[in-house]
Amino acid sequence: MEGLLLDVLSGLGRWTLGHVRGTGRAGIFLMHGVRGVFRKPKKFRAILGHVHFIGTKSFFVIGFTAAFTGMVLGLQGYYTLSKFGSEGLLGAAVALSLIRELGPVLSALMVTGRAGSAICAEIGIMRIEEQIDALECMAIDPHAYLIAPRFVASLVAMPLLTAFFDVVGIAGGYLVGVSLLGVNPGAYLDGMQKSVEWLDVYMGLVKSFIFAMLFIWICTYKGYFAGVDRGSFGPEDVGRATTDAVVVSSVAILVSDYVVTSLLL
Amino acid sequence: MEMRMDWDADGALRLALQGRLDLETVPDIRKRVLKALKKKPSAQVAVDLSGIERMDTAGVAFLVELRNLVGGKAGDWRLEKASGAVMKMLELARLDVLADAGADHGRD
Amino acid sequence: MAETEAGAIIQVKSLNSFYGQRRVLQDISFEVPAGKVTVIMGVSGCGKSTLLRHLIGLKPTDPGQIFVEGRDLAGFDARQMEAFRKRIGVLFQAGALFNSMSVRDNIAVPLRVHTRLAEPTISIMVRIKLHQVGLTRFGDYMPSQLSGGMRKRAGLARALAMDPEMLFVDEPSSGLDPITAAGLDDLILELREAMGMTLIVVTHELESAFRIADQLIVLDQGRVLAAGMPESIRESRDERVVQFLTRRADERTRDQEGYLSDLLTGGRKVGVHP
Repeated sequence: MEGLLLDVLSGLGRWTLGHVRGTGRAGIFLMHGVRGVFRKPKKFRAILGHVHFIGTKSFFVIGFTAAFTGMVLGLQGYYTLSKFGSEGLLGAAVALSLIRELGPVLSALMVTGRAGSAICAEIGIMRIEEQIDALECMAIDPHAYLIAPRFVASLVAMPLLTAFFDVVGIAGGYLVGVSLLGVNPGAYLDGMQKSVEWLDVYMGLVKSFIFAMLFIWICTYKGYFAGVDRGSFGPEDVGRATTDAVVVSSVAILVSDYVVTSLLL
Repeated sequence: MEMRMDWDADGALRLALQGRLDLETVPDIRKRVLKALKKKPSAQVAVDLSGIERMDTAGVAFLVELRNLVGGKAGDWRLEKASGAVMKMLELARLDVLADAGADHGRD
Repeated sequence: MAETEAGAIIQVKSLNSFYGQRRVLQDISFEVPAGKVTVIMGVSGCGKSTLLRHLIGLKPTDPGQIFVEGRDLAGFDARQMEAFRKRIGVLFQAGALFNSMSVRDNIAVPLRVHTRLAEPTISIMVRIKLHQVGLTRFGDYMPSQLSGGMRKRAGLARALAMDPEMLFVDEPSSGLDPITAAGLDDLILELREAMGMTLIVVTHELESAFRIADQLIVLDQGRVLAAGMPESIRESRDERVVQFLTRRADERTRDQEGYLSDLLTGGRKVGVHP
């Protein structure tokens, strides 16, 4: 009985210590990555490459998601608003929910799924194949060489993708609301113009920057330390890290969304 | 790193290098030689290696590149008076057959 | 700073190392003479890879245990570590090539990052290195298109890109057929001869070890079992050294021991890098 209690206690202690240590390590990793932005080697070309990978290659999936999100918002919004006889507000409802909330969150989630997992796996493979060690032995700071360009690229790509998401989404709402359900086109656009303020756009922008940083931080971190805790460096460690990265990033995006919203309101 | 550039009567560039010819010094030397060749193009180059204390792969690569810069025919590009250590580096790059050790005479 | 003792470029003084609670190296001491080939030998799991990671600063070392030219490796600040690492080359077990770029770009990485050399000069240097390791026509290949032996040779070319003073090699022959392995050994020896490099090689291959070593260090279960010239190791009367050298003969019995204990304990394995 006593043994069981001790087991539980030491298990709990280990779990806590592990998480505290992990959090500290992730914080240091973030710091090194940010510092790496300002250190050699030059990374303009690398940044361009990663913007292409995170941004350009996500265009299609983001556009697709945005179109259907906007369309479903059009349907649902019309249904709800028509109960109060205020279908004219559809434009405002669609635009506000997209710009303030759904644009940043869904873009971030989609990018995490598409690019975050790939980035995590790529860096994880570099870890298990000793490529990161090789960088260090060449006196090249892996944080500056591998991580920092991805940080910058994510901060560049994510707000742009979010803006693209918003525009396509609003067009999707217009398509359903105006073309399908017969809302007055003037009312849709005018309502949108009247109700969306700079503060809303600002909120969306702030969110997309925060999500961009969160997702790239978590995904690169998980890859960078793939297998390190277990001291084993096999393909399954990369798989585990990638799953972790996507789950933790997604949760972090949703939680931070609530926090940011409550702070900015 | 010291370097002297002279031009023969027939317009051939004579390059005398002294000191280290390595990763650190090659970028500047290359720049200076390129500039000189632009001002005064030369179809022939002879490099006096006797003053070189230390040479690495970057130095070897620069010597090879030099041949390209002057037009690139075997006879127009000569490496002269290579010391033992320099010869060893050239050997390592499998280029030793192209250089003359010691005495100052043409390769062909 | 000049070498402290007759030509020793690296000194290891009672090095201890742990993975968590587990001690993997115990009281290791030896010196690496400049310009010579030092081979660290032992069966897998004896701690030799860990020792290598200490020597190249990938695993932190306690103060007072490893000295490079008389200076404590543990006391290196970032700048000193960078200076040290610009002077060394490391060939990792599987080559550790960056798989997102061609062989040519792999070799050019240290040159592009650390020097102001012009691209045409770099590209000639890369060709020289490719030629040296016998991969002249493979510059444009991606690492994934190369065989294991070729990847190692490409890794060697990259390790040599900056003309290092010290070359560290992790298991040069593992995963290669005997002929390719011997070829790689010869190549390493030839390069050392020409460049006057100090070589530190970690291997479990007896044949390869005796072929290239000027100095041999035999590790067993985290301790130095024997150290010295290859001849003296070969003639050693120490029972455990003899057992190590002739392990092929009694591998069966040894293995049966291990097999039996595995059966009894469930064969719990503890992860060691790699």
